[in-house]
Amino acid sequence: MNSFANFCLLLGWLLALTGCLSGCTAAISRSERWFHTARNATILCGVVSMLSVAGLGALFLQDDYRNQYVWQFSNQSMDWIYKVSAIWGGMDGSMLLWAGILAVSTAILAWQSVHPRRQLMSWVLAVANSSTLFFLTVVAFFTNPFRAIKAPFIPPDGNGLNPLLQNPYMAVHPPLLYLGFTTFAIPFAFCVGALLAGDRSPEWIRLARRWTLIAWIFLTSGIVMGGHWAYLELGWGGFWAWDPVENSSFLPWLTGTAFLHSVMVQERKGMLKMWNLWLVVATYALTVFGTFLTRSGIVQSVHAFASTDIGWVFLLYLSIIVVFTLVVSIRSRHILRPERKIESFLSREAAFLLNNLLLLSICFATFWGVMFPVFSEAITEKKQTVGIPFFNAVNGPLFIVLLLAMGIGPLVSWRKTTWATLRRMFTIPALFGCLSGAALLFGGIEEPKAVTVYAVCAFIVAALVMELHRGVKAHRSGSELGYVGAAGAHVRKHYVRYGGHLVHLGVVVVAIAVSASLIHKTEREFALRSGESIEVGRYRLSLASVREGREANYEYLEAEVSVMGRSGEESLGVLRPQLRFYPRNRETTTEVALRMGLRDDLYLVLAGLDEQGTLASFKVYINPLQVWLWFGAMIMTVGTVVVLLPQRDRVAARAALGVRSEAISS
Amino acid sequence: MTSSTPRSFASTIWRLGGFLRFSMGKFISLIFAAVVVCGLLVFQATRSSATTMHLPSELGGASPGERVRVAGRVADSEVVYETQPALLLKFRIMDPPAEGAEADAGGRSVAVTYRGVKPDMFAVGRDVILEGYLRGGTLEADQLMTQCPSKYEAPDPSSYHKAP
Repeated sequence: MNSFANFCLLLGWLLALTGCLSGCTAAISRSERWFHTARNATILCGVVSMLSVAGLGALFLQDDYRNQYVWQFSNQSMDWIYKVSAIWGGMDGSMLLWAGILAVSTAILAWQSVHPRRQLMSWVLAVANSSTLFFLTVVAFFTNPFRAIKAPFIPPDGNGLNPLLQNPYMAVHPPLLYLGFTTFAIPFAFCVGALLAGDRSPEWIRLARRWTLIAWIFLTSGIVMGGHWAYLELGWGGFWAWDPVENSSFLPWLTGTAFLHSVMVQERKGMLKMWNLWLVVATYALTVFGTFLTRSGIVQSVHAFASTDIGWVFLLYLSIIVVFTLVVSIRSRHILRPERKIESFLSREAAFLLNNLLLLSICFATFWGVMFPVFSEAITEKKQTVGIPFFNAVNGPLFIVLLLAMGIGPLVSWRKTTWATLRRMFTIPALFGCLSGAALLFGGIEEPKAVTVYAVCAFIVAALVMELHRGVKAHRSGSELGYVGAAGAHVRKHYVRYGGHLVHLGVVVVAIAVSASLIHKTEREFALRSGESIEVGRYRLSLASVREGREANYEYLEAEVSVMGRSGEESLGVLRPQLRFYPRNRETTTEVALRMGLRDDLYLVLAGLDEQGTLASFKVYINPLQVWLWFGAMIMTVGTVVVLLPQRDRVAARAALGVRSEAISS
Repeated sequence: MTSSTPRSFASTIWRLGGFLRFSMGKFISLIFAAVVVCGLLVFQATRSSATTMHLPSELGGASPGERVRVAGRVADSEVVYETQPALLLKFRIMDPPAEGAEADAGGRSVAVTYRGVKPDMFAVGRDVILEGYLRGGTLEADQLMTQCPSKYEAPDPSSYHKAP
């Protein structure tokens, strides 16, 4: 199995090379046969790469400790699901999975590439294959997971996966993140391919946008799941610590989001072409940069980064991408020339530009924060770092302005608008926002930041509702429909717009949840003996007992804490936080007990037991509105899916482009 | 602007500035303004929150009031975890050994106290990042991060022992 999987990997490498070269040949010679060679090679490459990943999975399931990687990240007593997820438990396997997913995305692209614009698609396939080729090169020749074990004998049992990674979210989060990262390679291929082909048609930008939306869904849910994992597993009561590894996934998310906005200007108005090109390139480059960051060990992180020596490979690739795009974009600058100019500051175009500038500012600040240790060491020879306060101080205000822009931007009309229109549209929402802010102030919430965020959110929601209302009214005026019927028809007709608004609503929910759980968090340490109780916030916690136990992989202490409302005797359930000891890894981990609620989360950590075994110490967090963060993220995902629904006018669009159905089916 | 509504103060100022006409120059200046604002924010925040990164052996140079950040390895000496009267973790840290060199257990280690829950994955030999103040030769840390969750380092399989 080991040699089969390794063979698949090398075969995949050859196929990617074939796909890349024959794609170029097809584009240059305009040869139909070479195009099909490229297409078939790409599809096959996806298949064999996935076979290689599956082969590694099979090695894990068979407990084949002749393989160094399998030995290192698995042992016999692990659940089968974690044996599978151990594929991405370490560097080598995660790179293999990364390359495999990229190969599959490229294969899907190739599958769909029977498209009349042959020259464009040939270049796109060539560029996409070059990305696959790079990652397969890294896997095959630098971080090969199919190496034999470095020991004189075959160990009877494995080293075991890090207990913190033995969590369902950790099984799902990395593949989702990789899906997001790698899918950004496809829009990149479209942009560079179109430049190489000198293609001016709006068709490819539409395809690039759809791929970016798909990537965005995966990346967003991957990031949120990572946060959820950290929240459930790490026991510090938070979900985001601005750690380099988190930031490295956040940077491409920011530029990707910026592109999703400004690409609309290009689709509608033929402007910002150069800008969009570089946003796509930046997004792809930042995913590669993230890999470099997490694998090169140049910055200190909570996550133990390997100080491997392959960092330079990524840097080299990164500079190749940037230089190549630069050369190509200068050569084909004529197709990047804007078709129009922005006419007014009071226009949707300008609003998108503002959105982009804000997102890029956040991106820059985050990048700066991540790289500051490197910069400061290079300049002052003293390694300095910035922590969470830095990111909050810079990105907090920028995010609030971004929120405000999010409330205004989507309602401003294209080309230009007038102050009078703006006043008509925003007077009521602005009043509503101010009133909610004032109400909150009188209601006892005093933190200015929190009040600002809530007021802005109220403003956005009011603006969105008003927009819907106006749309429905207009829709009704020409028909017999009732209000609800008209609303349904209106939303169905403009579902792309309302999908976008749904995403914005999700952002509002996330913003409220994040600020509530950050600003109004309660945090306390206490110790209890059996039978004693304590009041925290609106809860009363009493310790019933502490018991010891043993599982296959670990020993544990478990406290049984009953939760009651503060005043009455009503029981709100029982929490059982654990303290686990894994003898194999000689590690202790805390197992958080969580009571999720719509109003707040009660988050209880068992910190320890004194030597007599009677007094248990706890740390408790009460995080208001925390679950809404996860709900908000779900709303964002659903909204994006709505935007992605196949467009009914697509057929018409194809007809307009002069695409005949025979060409598609051939 | 054809409306007959009275002009607001803001719109008057806006028009006086001639900003309603969009040109490439203004496009650039908008970007420039954004860059300046962002740069100022970043600069200010960096100045107020930059902390110098030290190795445990370099801590002697830190002044008492200065907030320091230390990256080191938990030394192979006694680790005390008090849960009473408050959570207090006491241990010593040393420089992580250079690549390939043998770990030297003795010598230049620094005592650390940390108020809080002993984090997951904390153990002797682990790399940790601490933040806090140096008082009387002891680092009083208020932040402790243990490195590990995604373990990309290869342990040596020949050191394998059969589990009891």
